[in-house]
Amino acid sequence: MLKGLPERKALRAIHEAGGQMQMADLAKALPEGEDRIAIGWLKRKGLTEIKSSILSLTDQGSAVLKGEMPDEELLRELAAGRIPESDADPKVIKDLKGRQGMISEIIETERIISLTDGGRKALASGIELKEEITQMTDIIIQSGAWKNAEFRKYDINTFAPAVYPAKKHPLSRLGDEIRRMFTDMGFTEIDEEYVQPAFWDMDVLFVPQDHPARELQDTFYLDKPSRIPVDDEELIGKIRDIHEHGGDTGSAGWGGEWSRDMAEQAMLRTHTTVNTIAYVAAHPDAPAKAFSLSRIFRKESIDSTHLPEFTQIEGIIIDENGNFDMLVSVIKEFYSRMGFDTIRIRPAYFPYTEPSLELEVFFNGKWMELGGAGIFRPEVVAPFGVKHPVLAWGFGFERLAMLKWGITDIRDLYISDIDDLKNSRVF
Amino acid sequence: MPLINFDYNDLSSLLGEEVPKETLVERIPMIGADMHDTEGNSDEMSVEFFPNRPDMYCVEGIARSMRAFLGTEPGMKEYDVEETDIRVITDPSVATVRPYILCAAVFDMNIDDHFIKSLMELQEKLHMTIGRKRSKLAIGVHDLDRVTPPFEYRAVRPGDLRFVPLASDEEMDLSEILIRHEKGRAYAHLLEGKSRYPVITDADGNVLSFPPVINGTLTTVTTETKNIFVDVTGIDEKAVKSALDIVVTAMAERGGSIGSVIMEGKGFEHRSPDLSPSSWSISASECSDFLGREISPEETAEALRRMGMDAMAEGDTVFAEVPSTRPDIMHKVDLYEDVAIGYGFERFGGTHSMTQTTGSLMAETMVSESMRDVMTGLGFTEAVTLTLSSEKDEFGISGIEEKELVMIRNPITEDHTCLRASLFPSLMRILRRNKHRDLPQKIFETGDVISDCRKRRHLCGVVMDSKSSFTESKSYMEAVLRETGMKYELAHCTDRTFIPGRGAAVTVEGRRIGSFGEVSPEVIEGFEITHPVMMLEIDLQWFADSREGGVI
Repeated sequence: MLKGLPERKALRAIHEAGGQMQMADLAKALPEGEDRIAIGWLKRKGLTEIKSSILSLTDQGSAVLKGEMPDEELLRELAAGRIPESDADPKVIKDLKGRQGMISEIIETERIISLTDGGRKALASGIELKEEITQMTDIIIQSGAWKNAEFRKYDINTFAPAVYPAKKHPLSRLGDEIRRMFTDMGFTEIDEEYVQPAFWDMDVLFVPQDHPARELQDTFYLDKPSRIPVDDEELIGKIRDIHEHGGDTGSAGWGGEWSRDMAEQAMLRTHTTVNTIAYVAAHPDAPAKAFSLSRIFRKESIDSTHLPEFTQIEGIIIDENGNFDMLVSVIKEFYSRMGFDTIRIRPAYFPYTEPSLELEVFFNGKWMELGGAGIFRPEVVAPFGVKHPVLAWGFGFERLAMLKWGITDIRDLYISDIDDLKNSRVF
Repeated sequence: MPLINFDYNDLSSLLGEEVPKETLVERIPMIGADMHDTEGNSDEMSVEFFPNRPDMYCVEGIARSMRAFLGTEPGMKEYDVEETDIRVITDPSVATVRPYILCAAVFDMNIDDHFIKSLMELQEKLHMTIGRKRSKLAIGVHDLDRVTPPFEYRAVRPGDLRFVPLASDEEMDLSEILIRHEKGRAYAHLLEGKSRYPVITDADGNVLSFPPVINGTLTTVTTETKNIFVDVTGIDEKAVKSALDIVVTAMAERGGSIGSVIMEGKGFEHRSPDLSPSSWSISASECSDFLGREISPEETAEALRRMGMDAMAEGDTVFAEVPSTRPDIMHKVDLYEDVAIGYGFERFGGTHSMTQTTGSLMAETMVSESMRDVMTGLGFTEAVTLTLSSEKDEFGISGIEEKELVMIRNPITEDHTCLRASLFPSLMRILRRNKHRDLPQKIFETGDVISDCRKRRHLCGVVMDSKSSFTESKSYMEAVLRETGMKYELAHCTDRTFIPGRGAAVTVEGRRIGSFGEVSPEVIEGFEITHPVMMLEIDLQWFADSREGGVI
């Protein structure tokens, strides 16, 4: 209260002006609208009268000039510290509380505890007073004070604030589990580039050049780079022959003319079969077992079950004893290890496998499709000199995660809510 | 995949016997299809068939396959073909426009609404799939009694011929149809650059069809139609033949009798349709080894008969006759698959005895695993984000020095136009989503970024709190670097990402491998975040490639 309440300033100004003042002059003396606050309180406290826009001091106004008003007195006392409500005039408190930013209220509760009869009796029978330790400190240990002290016993049901460990993401925990499963079974982890020429994503896999999956509406093609030249002329020749007339694979091929230009278009890979076919090309001999757990891209609009980028669980087996029955067995083992015991396979179609199958698990009363598999067609493996059946599969990773955790919106996996991550359980 | 809709009672009558709906729901998928849920007691059924079985794109074809598969009528279905003297003359003028045509007649049809619906759907599905949206082939079905043979297939100048197309009551010439008719506009691109357009006309000059665009209204098939003429034109002879065979046999399943017509042209004359099967022979023991089950030659033949083929075993050899409606049989492995389906996919998957090999993980995986331990130990929670990003987020907003990005030609949204070059923008997007959650938030990711079209494994960590501290970011970066055991140097980083003077670049042997510091308010605001943020990002690929150092 360096300069006092607005009405105090106004009183002084009116007094100095000889006990009377134009309201307009007061507005000059108390700028920024303070004059209006002052006039309101002057009137309410009966310190001035207003006639024809002229303020004049009342008797009470002149009296107050020399002394202190009750609210000023309370403010002065409060400036020194808190005072109990009972020590102040309720009306003054009420007025001050009504004025902006003057005082604040703190509610304190006092509880009186007294001994019961039982307590008095116990006291009469003699109580030894001993110091109880609450907060443990290093001094208590170092000084040996703890030896003669009692520790206060706590109520173990008292509230304790929640803390959360920093955690790995549920998807990467599931990924770790899958990787461990495959390495346990003797598989080598592999991965290739996201950016591929259509040649490795499609043509080598005997996907006909007019297949709908190659259209702009299903696949992301690239502007930068727009082409990726394939420089293996021998392989180019083999793939062209196989597409046009089956080459020497005993197949009829797709017919028509195969375009190298189309094969060299740059795109984002649409499946991780790119990885496994590259591995087969480099390791055509049995035994070979490889897997990958990596991203693929398809031109899908984002909704609760689709993303334009997702993850495939891919694998191949080249084995002297490899056959369709082995493929089905390995798939069943994989899913049973993932916790799905009711599994069904049914015939399916992919341009690069024959036989082809789709795999479904029974979950929540429904068959849910989780992936596809098959044996690479002769048209696919012949160029690489593979002598044994190549068992291959590509499973959905996010779908598996969503089934395992009961997640209904795939977007929540990749744009995580921090609170969801905190609450995700490691078990 | 084409979705085929049909009525259970219609299928039942085509099957010729009562098969409980539950049995069909269970068995149809086992021949190779995706069965959709049916509404409670509804008789409507929806099945998706795969692209290799266009013969099942209609309820008639499904009935034929299921009669064999369920064992009521195994073997190849034979259709009688009666020779007619209907001639179709192909003029050489079509050679450069749409060279191939095959036709057939079907008599004594009893046409109901089920059939008309099924026929229209079948045509539509064949157009979309093996027809590649009518570019490879187009089918026309006509009321034979409204026109007079012989028919002529020729190419004419667009203005030279006028007729009333389907779904119109106005006569138009061919170029008008391409401009004014809905189907004309939809398929005009297939005739782009051609000076002549193909038409099929009758002896009186009536137009049956303007393939691949539209039929004439004159020959519209109705429930009054008794006799049918089918034409299939296209640029792929094999596909044209398959489509014709599938359509006419479907009509025969409805009680029609197939009649062959004479296809005549410069240097050829033959009858169509030619439903003769293709002959194959396979070794039962080779097939058995491939499938991994002891399947005897007789069982092999029986499995093929269940797949609608004629088959018999002689010693180890199984001779098979494959109907002309199965264009998917290209190689003997295709027959092995049919053996597996006929034998029953549900019977596979006993035990396996793979050859023992040793498993291993990629260096990138192991480096990431170690780094994830380090980062969670430092109190960072892991995030997993997409590699797809936008140029704006990568450079414009994040202030990272621009480099060549992999750009998508046909993006879906402006948020996903490229592959990311660093992880930082991805994590800023996570912070944006969580800006109303409790502070502090400490998150990290180990993920792939793309540099020169190649993946590189990176690690990024961000902290969002009510205060940010350069020292804290340095402590975290030094903790990470300490674990790698690499010798490094620090230099001022002038990227707009950081508050000037509060960003540092980490170099190892002269190359920059990472940066850290207090994020500039401009960048924070750009990501619509309202709290201070500090970050560190480091390229782990160097460590993955060298596999050196401490915990790594």
